[in-house]
Order: sequence, then C-alpha cells, then structure tokens
Amino acid sequence: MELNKICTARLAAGLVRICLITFVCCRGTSSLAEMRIWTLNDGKTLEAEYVRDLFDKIVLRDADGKEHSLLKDSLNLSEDDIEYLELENPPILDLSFKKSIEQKNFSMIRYAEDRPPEWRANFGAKVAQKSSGDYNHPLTVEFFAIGQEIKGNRYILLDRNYSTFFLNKENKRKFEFYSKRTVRMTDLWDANDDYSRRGEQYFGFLIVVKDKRNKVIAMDASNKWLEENLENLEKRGIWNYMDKSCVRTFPTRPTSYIANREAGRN
Amino acid sequence: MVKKSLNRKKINAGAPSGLMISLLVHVGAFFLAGLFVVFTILPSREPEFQPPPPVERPRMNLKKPKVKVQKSSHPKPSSRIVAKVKTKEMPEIQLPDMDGGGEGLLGGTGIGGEFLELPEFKTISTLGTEDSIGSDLVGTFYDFKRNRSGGWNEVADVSAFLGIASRFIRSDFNPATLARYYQSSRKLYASCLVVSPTWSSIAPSAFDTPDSGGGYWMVHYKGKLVHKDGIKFRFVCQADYFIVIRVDEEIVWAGVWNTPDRYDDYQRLIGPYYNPRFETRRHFIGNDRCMAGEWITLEPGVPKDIDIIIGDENGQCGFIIAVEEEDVEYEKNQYGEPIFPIFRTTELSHDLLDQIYRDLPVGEVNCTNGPIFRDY
Repeated sequence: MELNKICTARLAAGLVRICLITFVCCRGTSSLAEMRIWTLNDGKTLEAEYVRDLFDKIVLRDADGKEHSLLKDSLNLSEDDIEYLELENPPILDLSFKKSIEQKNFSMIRYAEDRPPEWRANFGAKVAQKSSGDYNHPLTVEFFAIGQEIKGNRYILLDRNYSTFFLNKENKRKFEFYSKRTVRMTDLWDANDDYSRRGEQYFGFLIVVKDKRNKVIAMDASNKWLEENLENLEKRGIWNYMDKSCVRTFPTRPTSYIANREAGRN
Repeated sequence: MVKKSLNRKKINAGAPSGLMISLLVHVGAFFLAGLFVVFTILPSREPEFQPPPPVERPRMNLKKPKVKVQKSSHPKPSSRIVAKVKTKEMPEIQLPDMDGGGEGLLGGTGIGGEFLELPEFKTISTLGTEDSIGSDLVGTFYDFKRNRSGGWNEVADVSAFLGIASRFIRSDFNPATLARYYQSSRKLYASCLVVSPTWSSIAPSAFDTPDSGGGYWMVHYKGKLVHKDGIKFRFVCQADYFIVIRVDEEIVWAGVWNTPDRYDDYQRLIGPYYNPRFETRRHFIGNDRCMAGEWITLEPGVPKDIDIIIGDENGQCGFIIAVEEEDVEYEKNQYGEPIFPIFRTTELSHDLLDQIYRDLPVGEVNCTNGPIFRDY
C-alpha cells in the first residue's frame, strides 16, 4: 500500500512537471527575434535576441548562442522594450472562416426565364482569443476566399478583405466581420462548349492575422498550399485567375465552337 | 354569569395622556411645517465690469482729393498682345488597371473593431469598363422592353425589336428616336468588343440591372477611329443578334446572326442601306460564320467618327469585331482559317483578357497582336 502511494505521488509529480514544461514552452516562443541591446539595472548591456518568457524571467540568447535567463526586474526595460516583449507574446487565437452561399434563380423574373441560375456568396472571418491576459495592441485580420474553375484547373481569388481591431473585455476578446461584396458564380451546362459543365465554384479559404509590425501571428487555411504561397496570394486582385502557386495566369479556354458547329451540334 | 376581569393599565401619575398626545401632535406639526419651508439660495453677485473711461483721440482733417479731368478726354483702347497657342494633342493618360472581373463593392462590416475601406472595386465587362482611357468608345445602353421611366414596355416580337433599331439607323443614328425607351445613365467605355456567345442578360447586368433578363436591348458606341501611321483595313465581324458599324456616316458593316437564313430580319434592320458581302462568309468565329465589310482607309493621325450598335433579341448573344489589314498574311488556326486580330484602341489589360478568355476558344481571334487604333 505504501509502495502504491509512493508510485502514485511520483507519477503525479511527473505529470505536473510535464504540464509545467508544456505551459512554459507555449507561453511565448520567438523563432526569428531580432538582436537587441538589453540594458541591466547595473548599467551593463547585453546584445541578445529574445527567446521566451519564463514566468518572471526572460530568456535571451546572445550572439554566441548562449542563453541567459534574467529576472525582468534586473533589466532596465524601456517603453520600446516593454512593447517589444508584449508584441513577441501575442495571444493564442481561434480563427474561423464565414461563408454564405445561396442560389439565385431567375425563372420568375420577366424576360429572364431562361437565364441560368447563379451562386451568390458572401464571405467573412471571425477571431477569438483563446489565451488569457490582455493584449493592448491592434491586430489586422485578412481573409482570402478561393474559388475554382468547374472545367479547368485554375483557381480564382473570389474575394479578399481585411479589418483592424483590438481584443479586449468590452468585445469579449472576439471580432467578426463580413465583406460587403457579393460574389457571383455561374454553374451551367454550356451548349457552346460541347455541353460541358462550366463556371466557378467555392474551393477554400485563407485567414491571416498580423500584428502592428505586419508580422503574422496566426494563420488558418483550408489547404496547406495556400499558406505556403501567401506572399504570391497577397499580390492577387479580385477575380484573378491563378495556379497552385498563386501565380497569376489566364482562365482555361473553352472548347472551340467551330468544332461543335462542324460536327453539326449547333 | 361570566365575570369579566378587566386589566386596566393605570396611567402613571404626573403625565396625563392628553398632554402626551398634545405634545406628539405639536411635534408632528412642527415637522410638517419644516418640510414646507423653502430656502431661497441667493447666488453671489459677481462684481460688475466697469469699462475704462473713453480716451479722446484727435480727429484727422481729411481733404477731398481734386482730380483734373480733361473734358475732351476719351478712354483709349488698351492694346494687348494675344499669343495664339497651338494645343498639341497630348497622349491620353493611361489609367492604372483596376482589379476586375467580379461583382460587388469592396468594404465590409465589422463587429468589435475599426474597419478600413479598401479602394473601390470596379467591374470590368467585355462590354466595357467604368473608366475611360481616352481612346475608347463610349457605350450607351437602351432597353426597349422598358419605357423611359423604367416601367415595362411591350415589345411584340423580334420584328418589332428590329423595327425600333431600324428607325434609329435610318434617322442617321439620332438618339431622339429612342427617347421613349429606357436609357441607362451609366456609360461604359470599350476599347474592344469581344463577347463570345453568352447570355443576353450580360448587357443589362453590365450597365445597371444585374438581376434583369436579357433581350430587346441595344448599345450604341461612339468614338473616334484613328491610326497614327495610317492603315487600310476592313472589319470582320460575327453578330448575335446584330451589329451595325458606321464610319463618317457611311455604313461599313452590318449583319444579323446567320444573315443568309435570317435575311428578312436583316432587311428589316438595315434594308437597302448596306449590302452584306456574303462571299466573305468563310469561317466560324463565336457561333456563326464571320463576314467582312467595306475597306476603310485612314490617313496618319486623321480621325473619323465611328458608331457601332449592337443588339440582341433574347437567349444568347455574341459580338466579335476583328479587323483584316490589306495585304497581310495571318497565322492560321487548327482548321486552316486565318486568325484575325481584334479591333482595339489600346493594349488590353490582364483583367479584361481574363473576361474575354473565359469564354473565347483558342484560335478564333488574336487579342494581343495587330493594329491599335489610336493616334500615338
């Protein structure tokens, strides 16, 4: 019985240790921090990059790669330093893409009875803070709504929009916005193109959140290649056709009407 | 007999009950009186401003000026040197390409934060764009199935529709003949006309009513036809349902869809004003065989007036206007037919090419090479 108690206690201690380490690691990690001059209270300076926060200490790494764990109180932090540390510890965010797609029928509209229906879409994004604590700096969220050719392999930037916001207690640390643009997509059986199905359809999304330094702090996408090609995607305009690298291209051309006519289809 | 024992509390001597009651009543009365007492708060009076005594200032003795006027003097005409400035034609400002292709406005609604407006998104249609670059043609949209105030107007059939367009043509393209029909206040500026077969609703959608049906509409484009080096060429077009092109008040191209089979419609539209060149109906562009028009010679930099009207009766429509230069050999497509360059007044933007290529098969017309009709 005593042995069981000892084992249980050791196991519990181990679990607590694991949790603590995990918490510390998730607390704030900077992968590409800049080298800065840090001034200590005794006047000494240290040129190092910020690594992470560790409760009341911060971990710095100097040019030789050696890590220094220093009490925050021992550092003579300027306003810029404080802001830098806050920006290096952004909140953990939950991102969600919003879409509303409806079919528009024209059969009841005079003189439009034979007009094929359209798909009309509106897109938006929602950001919610998952971690605790205040973050008193503005954030910018931008979404990209991606479409795809029905017949063809091109992708289309259907819509993109962005908004700047703060996460605070007043808004319950949540922000949500929608684009005013209504995107129209066609989906029809084209008699002029060998009766094949042509048009556009919704494919996926990418949401990016950046801090005031324009540094990405959170990203979510329906497909990994969208994240990987963010730099190209940001150069695209509305209804640009692009390939899987988000490089601009032209749409897939339809089959020749000549062929249809010569074959006696039309 | 029931004895009733009465426990009577004796009142303490020295304090009769009536006196107590009287005291209570008086206290209550004083209390009530106190509630009704009104205190008037007098504001402290601020000291009044006492202006300083006026200062006596010496007066200036002004003398009336004396001007000698000659009785015989007359105002002399002023001589001015006027320089005649020759305004050289400057190249038109090329507006930057706008993001194009879709529909709708930029901007959004946010909850919980500030929202920044992105630059307004401009629609690009194969019938034209909202911004002019100077060398383009201005398009005005007429909807014959609506009256001038936007209400419905019955158009009996295709013949009636062509009759309305015909009156406009025969009146020397006078817009007054269309005054009773709906005219869109929105203009579009076209640097080319390459509309592959699509739904007739493309026109009302492009101009002002995106949810409208098509049919019984007409667009009149107007502008200048000019080439900086001079050129001899002719228009090669495919129409569904009709196109009429006029240069310096002379019809140089006219046709309806499948003109040989729809010759009655052709006659109703344009009649004796123009004889189509059926011998030039060679190969397909869009959903019909294209046809060539009259040869046109442009002197270097000398502009001519050009009017193009396109119209559709319903269902599908298509308008492709290409050019053929004299004595030029063109690349052949997979069917051995020449690929003519399109009529254009500028290089086409990527956004406009997206809209054209979306519906234009490869090998029908060339959108990137060939003459550009502008004076620079």
